[in-house]
Amino acid sequence: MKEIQLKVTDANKKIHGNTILENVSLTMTSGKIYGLQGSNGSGKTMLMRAMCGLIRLNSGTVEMNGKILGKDMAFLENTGILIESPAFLNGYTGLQNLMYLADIQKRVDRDAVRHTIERVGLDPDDKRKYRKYSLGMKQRLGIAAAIMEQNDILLIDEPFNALDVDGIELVKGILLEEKARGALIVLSCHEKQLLESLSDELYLIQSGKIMDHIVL
Amino acid sequence: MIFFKLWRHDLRYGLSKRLLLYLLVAFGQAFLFCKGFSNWIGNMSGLPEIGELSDTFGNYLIYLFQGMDEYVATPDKAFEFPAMWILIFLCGNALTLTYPLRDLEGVGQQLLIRSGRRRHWWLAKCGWEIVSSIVYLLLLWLGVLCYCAIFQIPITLEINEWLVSVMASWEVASPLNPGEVWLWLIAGPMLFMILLNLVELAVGLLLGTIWGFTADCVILLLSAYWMNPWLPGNYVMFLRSRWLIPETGMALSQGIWLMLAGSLCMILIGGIFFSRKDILRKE
Repeated sequence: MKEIQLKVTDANKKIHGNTILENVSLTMTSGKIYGLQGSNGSGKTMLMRAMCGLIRLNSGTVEMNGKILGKDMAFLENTGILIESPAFLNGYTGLQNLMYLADIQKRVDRDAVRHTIERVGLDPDDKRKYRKYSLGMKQRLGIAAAIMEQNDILLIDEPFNALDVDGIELVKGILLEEKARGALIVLSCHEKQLLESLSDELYLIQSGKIMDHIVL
Repeated sequence: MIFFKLWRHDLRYGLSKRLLLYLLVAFGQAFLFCKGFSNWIGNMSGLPEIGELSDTFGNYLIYLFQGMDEYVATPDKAFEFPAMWILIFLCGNALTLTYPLRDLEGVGQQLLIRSGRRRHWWLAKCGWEIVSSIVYLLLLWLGVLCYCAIFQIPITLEINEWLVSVMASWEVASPLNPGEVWLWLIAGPMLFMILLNLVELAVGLLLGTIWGFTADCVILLLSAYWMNPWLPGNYVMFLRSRWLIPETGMALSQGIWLMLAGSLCMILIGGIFFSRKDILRKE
């Protein structure tokens, strides 16, 4: 596992005149879970989108081991994402969906994908198409897509949505395993206690600004 | 190559899984319009000054892409609208309208992150638009072919010039060399359909799908009402071709370059816009 330093420096973003991010700065390293806490609309999701390259900052930088996003790389490299609700192809099964994604970089084989599906509590041999999945199943598949390639960085937005108690415990376990593997995990959750129980450091976000940084 | 993987997926998920819809739209139009033409031929054949009209497969294709005469507004001239011609192309636009944006707002974001480059996704979508345009028109022609086979209309490369003259209401000025006409019938609509769909893709991703569709409507309407060599639709209207209007009519050889250049511009300009686009989920 490569040692990663991820730095966001003075990130600013406006969309349609609305301030989405304002002078956001973060420094993160491998093997830790960084929690982003804030109410709905505080900017957590947009910050994740900016960090992975899906949205372009008006000013400021996102830097990974000296490489600048938007200049040296179009998207954050070796990154698994689950941002907002999961999105897959309705006409494919869970396994087919993940195999299609895995085929892009060919870093994992079918057995590894199957193992990841089992890891999140789903059945890799389930013949149901994605459109027939429950919300909880969709969420689990989304987490599977983020972790299956054993990426260096995980950006996980509200991973516990639609999960039952067992599902929450399962995902907590997975995130701690990924952290132990050395991944740099950025996690957002609106439930304070849940976030504090997992995070090593906490960033409190309000109206697109970092209000506080707590080392737990 | 990642581009080919994404393109293959788009062809599988964005085209082959929707082939039945393409077939219904294309065949539905083909049978509807061909039936209309057959009825018109039957009515005209009854007129003593016209005489018996024999039709061919080629005549039906010309009919579909006849467009309309150059429009000159006069107080006594009724408002004209090339409804069939516009509908054929708008249906092709509608079939490709929503897939790219739906992909981008959904699983496409995972694909983008994994592919590492925005241009892979963009070029794959451009490739998908091109293939979809060709498939739609091929199905339309197949629909006309089936109609001719069912109603025992000669399926031949020959074109009945007298029928064309009656349809156009004036004489064919240059001989209808079947080879040239078939090139016009194949290349013209295909290049125009590809250009329209690329415009729809580029404008749609920049401003929204409805604006992409609107941009195509504007091109079609401007082409219909303004006989201008810079409006590509003019080259795909048989009634405005050099065969019927020898001196000022549209020559496809010019139109081909215009449409190819326009398509390339859309791919380049759209790619530049897409490289800067904020990729968000639909609220």
